[in-house]
Amino acid sequence: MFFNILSTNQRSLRVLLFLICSWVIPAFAADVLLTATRPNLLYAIDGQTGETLNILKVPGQTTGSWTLLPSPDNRRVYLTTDNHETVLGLDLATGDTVFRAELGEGLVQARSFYGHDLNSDGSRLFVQVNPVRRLRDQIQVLDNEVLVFDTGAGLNAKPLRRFKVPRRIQGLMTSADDHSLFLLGRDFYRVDTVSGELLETLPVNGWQIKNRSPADMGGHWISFENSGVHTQALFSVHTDRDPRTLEAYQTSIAQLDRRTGKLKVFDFESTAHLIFATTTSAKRPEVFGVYNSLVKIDSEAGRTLQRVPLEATYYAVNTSLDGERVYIGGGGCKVAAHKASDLSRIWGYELPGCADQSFSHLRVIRGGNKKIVQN
Amino acid sequence: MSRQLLWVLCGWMLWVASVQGEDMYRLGERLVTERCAGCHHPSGNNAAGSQFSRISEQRKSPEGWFMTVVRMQREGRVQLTQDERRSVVKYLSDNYGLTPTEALPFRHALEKRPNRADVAEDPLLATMCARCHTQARFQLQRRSEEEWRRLVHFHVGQFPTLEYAAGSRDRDWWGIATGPLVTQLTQQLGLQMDSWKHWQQQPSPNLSGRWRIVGRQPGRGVYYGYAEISKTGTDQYRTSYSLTDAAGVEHSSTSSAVIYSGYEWRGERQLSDKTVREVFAVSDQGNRLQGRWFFQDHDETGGDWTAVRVGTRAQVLAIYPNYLKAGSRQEMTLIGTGLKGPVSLGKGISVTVKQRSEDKIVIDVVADRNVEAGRREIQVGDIASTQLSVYRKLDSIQVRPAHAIARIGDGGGKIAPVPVQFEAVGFLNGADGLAGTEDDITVGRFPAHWSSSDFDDIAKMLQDSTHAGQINQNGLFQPAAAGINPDRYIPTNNIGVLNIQAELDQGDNTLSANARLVVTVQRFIDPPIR
Amino acid sequence: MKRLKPLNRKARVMDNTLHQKMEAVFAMQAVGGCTTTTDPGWEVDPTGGVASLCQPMEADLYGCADPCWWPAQVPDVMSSYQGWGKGTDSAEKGWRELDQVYPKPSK
Repeated sequence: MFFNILSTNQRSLRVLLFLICSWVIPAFAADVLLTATRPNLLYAIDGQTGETLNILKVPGQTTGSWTLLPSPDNRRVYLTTDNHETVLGLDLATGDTVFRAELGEGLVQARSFYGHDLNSDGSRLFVQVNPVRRLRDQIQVLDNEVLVFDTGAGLNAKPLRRFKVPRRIQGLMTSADDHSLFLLGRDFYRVDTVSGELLETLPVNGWQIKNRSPADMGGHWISFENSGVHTQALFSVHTDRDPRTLEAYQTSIAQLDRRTGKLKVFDFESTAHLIFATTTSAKRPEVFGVYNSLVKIDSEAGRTLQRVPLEATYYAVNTSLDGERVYIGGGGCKVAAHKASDLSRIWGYELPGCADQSFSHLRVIRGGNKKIVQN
Repeated sequence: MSRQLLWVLCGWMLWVASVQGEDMYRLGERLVTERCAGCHHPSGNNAAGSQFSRISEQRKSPEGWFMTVVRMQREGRVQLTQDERRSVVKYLSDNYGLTPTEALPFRHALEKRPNRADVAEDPLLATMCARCHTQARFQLQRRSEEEWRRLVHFHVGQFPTLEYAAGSRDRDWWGIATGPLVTQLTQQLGLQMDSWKHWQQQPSPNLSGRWRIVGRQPGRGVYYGYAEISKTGTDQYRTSYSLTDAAGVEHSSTSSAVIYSGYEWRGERQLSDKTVREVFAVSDQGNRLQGRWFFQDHDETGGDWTAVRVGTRAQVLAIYPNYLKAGSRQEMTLIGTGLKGPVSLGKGISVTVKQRSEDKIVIDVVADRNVEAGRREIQVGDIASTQLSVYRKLDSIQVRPAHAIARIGDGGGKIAPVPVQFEAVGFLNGADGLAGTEDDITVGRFPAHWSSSDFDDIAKMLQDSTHAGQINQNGLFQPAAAGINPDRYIPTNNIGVLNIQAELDQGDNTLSANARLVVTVQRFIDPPIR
Repeated sequence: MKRLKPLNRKARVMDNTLHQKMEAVFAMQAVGGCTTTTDPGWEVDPTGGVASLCQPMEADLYGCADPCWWPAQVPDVMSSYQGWGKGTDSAEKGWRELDQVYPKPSK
């Protein structure tokens, strides 16, 4: 299935591409970026050069995948298809579907577009679903749930268990010890991975800060795979300041550490610039945010270090494994790498046909590993 | 007559006969029973205790029903031809429509009047509904409590990210939507079947006859004339118009129309090669038709429309022009019906009748230099109408609309641009001697010198006024072409924010006023009620 | 990035302008039919202008259509208009193919 977007009579081209890909992969462990485009393609991109390493075709009816979830061993990626009603696990090396779970049943249509995560050995897949019952003359909204799958369950996987969760969860993150699952919603909720029992609520929207409105949070893009920290931009209003002044509008960052379970929230600038996605550096106390500009934030001092405007809107941001580069993508058809030190651009790349990434996440996995590129 | 032509004629007659054979309402009734009731089965639990689940528990405008039926077609739930859909909408609007009183505050949306300020005063409805829709979208509906709740469920089922968008995600959206919101919607916009039943019992007037028409198209001016309306079937009419516009040019055309809900006139006519829609309301026991017409493909372009039946109540409908300067002499035209008796424009204005009939009087008018400024009554025999303003000098002008949205379009794409017609309106200060206060006296619309400029420093830097479009000396702003403009400071399309300025030279002083214009991107969904 | 200089200037001017005033923000959003869902907004951005909208709209259109972000302004591909944009995978290159979705009522 590798190179399965090519027809079978293009075998020679396949061999050639294989040779090229083998050649461009550096011997040392390098970053490989994962992003998806319309209509159904998944790209593996070399973080060093911006060149395409691999293109996989996502089976099913889809206009693009959003939540790309790499397995801990970097062999698989989990994503949705069939209009977010099916979760697939694709083998990154072969493109084969190795896991498949339909999320709804009968009259119940269950979609999952934001909340996916795996436990640390990759054996359990947690999927948040927004189910509705579609009756002949009406739709009934049902409770949101997390479904837990055995990732070895194959192509007709059924959930091992399921538990009810609050509505409007925009991401899932397992704790490093696998005992807890963080539900990233209006507030962050820590629940037991087995029973789903609520263990702790970490207030975000519900923060209690004097003279401050509840926090609004932007960005549904997940990028904690290397830092172990979920990062979220927050927007609020200083209710004791003149609302006609910019100083009344505050941008803050929330960071939730999967190892400690600690939530850190800090203010850093007035909201002159919108921020969609944010990510925490794997190496330094720095947060990067993206939208129409790329911003670097000192997460210890709580201040903006640098902002560079971008030539177009980017939705998603992530950092290299060594913390030296910042990758941006999502929205349109461009992916780019910037130096973490001064935010200067290293490379920019337009995906083939300028196909839109739309809501796709931008994930960074360890490459240089033949498994990713071998047929 | 050739044999072929005979066949064509026979075919045409058969076609006409088949359409006429089953009237629209009956066809609609049959189609709803045959094609809708399969899913919308009779339900004993319905608040209205009537026929169809969901359908019988809501009431809305013809456009509202049209949108519902279109969605059912789009989702493949029902197949209907265009004629069949019209009949279904007719049946639903006649049985589950709105009363004239209920529709009145939001007719502007049905009439597609552009650039209306739409601020929901209620904070709950503003954040929960008007965040995406105009107020008219929900205010032109009546539903049972259960039905409002089902609408909330539908929204989340159909648009699953709704809870994640700004304005939802910072609150307990689902809790609010299914709780206080449903309660409030039910209180304000509950099914209230009694008021509808009462309206339904009113006799349906026959609109056939001769009608006097007045109207005005922003940027083009006034027009007046006559309509001959004749009945072609139950609630169906054909109309012949003959109109004279401000330039004295005569226009004639014919339209066909259907009456929905007992009073909602929806007509269609061709003007040159363009389709014009008529959205009027019948009132005054079938003696008045009022609303707006607009081009089907450019609904921002259209005009006001008032028609009254000739030979009914005597009334002055309009005076052209509708303002008079002190110390000036001019010809004025009064339009109305049953205009008999002497014409007076009040103290300080002498009137000479040059030409008159019962529905039009042309007068020669001289205003004294010292005539009192302000609004005043026109008196024709026993009837009076406050439509005339007298002024010596304007105290201020305002640009209407003060806040406007234009949209880029064309540029090789499929979506037409949306221009904005601005007008300069002159005012006198009221008793407080201040401009821009509530007691200002409207004089009327004046020609002005028009210009556009960058609204602020960002617009200036991005050269919005160079790229976003042009305003002409008639106040018409034409937005630029859609698509990426490589000549821009940074590569983007031709959107921008402009300051629109009108200047009016009064000899010894110049009045000026501004409007804020956002030239923005296309709308990819443009339903009858936005 | 040869465009960096103008972009930097734009960012600086935006900062200054916003510092000066945040007025009339809602006046523009209140024009009938515009959404007030300001993340960042379809017609108008949170400041009542257009400079903070996604840029350019064409490159961002599917980012709105796919997750049904402004379903009253942009066809939602998830439910109502699943075929919208099919065969046009780049909105930036193929926006000319993308049409409005509503039929016009007759009479």
